[in-house]
Amino acid sequence: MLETRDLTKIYDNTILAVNKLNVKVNPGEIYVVLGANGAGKSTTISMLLNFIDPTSGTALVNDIEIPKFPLEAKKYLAYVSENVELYRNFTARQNLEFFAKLGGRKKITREELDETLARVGLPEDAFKRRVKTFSKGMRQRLGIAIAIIKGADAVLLDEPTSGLDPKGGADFLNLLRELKGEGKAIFMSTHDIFRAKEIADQIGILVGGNLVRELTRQEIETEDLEPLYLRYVAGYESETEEVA
Amino acid sequence: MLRTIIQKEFLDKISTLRFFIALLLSFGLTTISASVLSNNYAQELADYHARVKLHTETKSEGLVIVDRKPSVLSVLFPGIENNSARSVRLEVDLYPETIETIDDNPLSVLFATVDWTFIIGIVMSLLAILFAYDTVCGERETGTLALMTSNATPKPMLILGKWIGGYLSLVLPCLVGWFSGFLILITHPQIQLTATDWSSLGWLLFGALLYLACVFALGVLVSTLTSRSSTAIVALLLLWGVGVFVIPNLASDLAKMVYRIPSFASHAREMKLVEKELQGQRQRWHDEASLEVIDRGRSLAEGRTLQVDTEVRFINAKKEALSKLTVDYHRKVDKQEQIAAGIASLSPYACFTSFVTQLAGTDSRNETQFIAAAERFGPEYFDDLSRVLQHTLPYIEAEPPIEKGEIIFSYSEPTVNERLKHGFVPLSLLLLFTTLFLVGGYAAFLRYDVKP
Repeated sequence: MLETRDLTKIYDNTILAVNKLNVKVNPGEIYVVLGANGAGKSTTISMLLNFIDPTSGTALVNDIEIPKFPLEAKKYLAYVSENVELYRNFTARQNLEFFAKLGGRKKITREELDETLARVGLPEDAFKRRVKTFSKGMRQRLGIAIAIIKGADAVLLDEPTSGLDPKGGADFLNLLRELKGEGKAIFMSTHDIFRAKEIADQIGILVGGNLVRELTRQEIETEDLEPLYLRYVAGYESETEEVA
Repeated sequence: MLRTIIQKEFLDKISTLRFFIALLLSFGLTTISASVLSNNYAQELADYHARVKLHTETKSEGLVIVDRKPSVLSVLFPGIENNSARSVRLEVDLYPETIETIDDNPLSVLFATVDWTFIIGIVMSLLAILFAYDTVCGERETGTLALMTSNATPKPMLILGKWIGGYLSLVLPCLVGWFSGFLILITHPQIQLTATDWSSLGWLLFGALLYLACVFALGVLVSTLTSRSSTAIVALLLLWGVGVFVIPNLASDLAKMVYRIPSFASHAREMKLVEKELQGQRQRWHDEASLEVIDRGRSLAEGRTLQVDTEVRFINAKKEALSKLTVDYHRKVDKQEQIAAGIASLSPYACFTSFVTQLAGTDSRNETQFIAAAERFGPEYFDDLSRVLQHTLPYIEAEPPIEKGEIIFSYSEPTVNERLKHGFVPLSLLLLFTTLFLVGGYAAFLRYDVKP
């Protein structure tokens, strides 16, 4: 389980990036945080991964306080970034093996590596190809494979579908559904309201570091998400009303 | 975990184009250099034997020239060997004079063969920078650093693993080159390595590895202080230029500004003036001696003795005065050199050069010791001055000539311990620089923003 409690980040004592954020992601749930650039999505993920320390508040994974026990907490966290570059001169297999070992897997068989790569939809001939020959979609799949092989309880994804073509995006969502089915707590940031609507169990809208609205699965299905999002994020509604 | 990181870093680095370029460059340069310089050494050795033969034949009662065998390790690290005294001319009533060998091939001066000091100090240090500059910031840019640190890997372990793995990947092409160079050296028929040479070679290898570690650590430090690899490489090239060219080149000029000494020409003029003054004094002493013979009616034998005593008095006075001037001048030069060396020691490259020339016996100290040994040999060879003087004065009946070859000059190069004693300071400084850069890199990495 992943949770934030009044999580706050102020840069240089002046810039409020995240303000008293309280979210909770249960096992087998996907929480999608929507927001414009600079809304605080990446800062939140950075605090969850202990890349930066929060100014106040805390975050927990499996009841372990991340800022206090980062190394212990990271055992239960996997991360997929917006643009998974990996080691370009390594093959997909080599990359996966390295990150698996780094993630704490002491012994790992080639079969297990290949199974994971196949599971994320990479063609077999790509297993031994250097990553520098991969498309972005293939690299994102490899990123998910790295998260899968770690076996972490919570997966953090920072705008993972940006730049993917429609098929790539759809395949990616299917992989997330599989992870959800395995009981992983998934926290994903995105701009993409359509994919968010498709996959999220909860959606949080971040504006200027503040969580201005949270929607449950039921609300997601009933609400018209696009105008809602635009109203909060871009102040769009007032303008359109004025025009009308 | 550390092993995994080292292995990854090593494999990542050796799968790049720069590694293959480093391998080719290291192998090619060291092999060619060792081959050419080995042949040069064989020529030097032949010249040395020819000089010894010539000087043995031309040795006389009043003149002897002693020679120094070229240091074997000058094959790899020539230092100042080619510009230092190969022979010392000893004359009975003159201050020892050094003789340098002039290279008769201008092309070898114009297109000098690169030695290992240049290959390691310049070429490989540049490669070290190319291997290190993106160690941290490069991974930040690609996002792999964030992915790595999202795991339960302690940051100290991460930076240590990256440092060790990267350094090993740099050392590999260097070792391949050095090994091929050593093979050429030991299989050359004219080159005989003694136990001292082998020990020195071991230390030279250690010094070279430490120097490369130092430059690599600097590269990692700058990589952790910058967020973009383009910034890191520019900053490192600037620092490299300052360390390799600016500081060592400016050191002499700065020392001259800090501690001024008269030029060699002024010193030579002063010597001439003193000598001229003493010649006048000599004449006055002879006149006094002549007057004493005439006034007091001394015998011819007594007169001769007086003349000899006067001449001895003159020679002693001249030697004393000129020695004092020379020693005083050399002391000033030494002090200026020490100041220059102190300034230059701010550069790891200068420390490396100083260490390898000390260990190879191709530094100025070896030359100084050779000249000192020659100076000690002079009086021994000429036996006692008055006996020799009787042979040199034309108006004294000749006595049986001194048998040639009674005393043979021998000069032993410094032992490994002596070399290490003098190389200790530059080696310690290299160690200090490496430690500082490592600690700095470690501290900077702990606060490094890993997000791309």
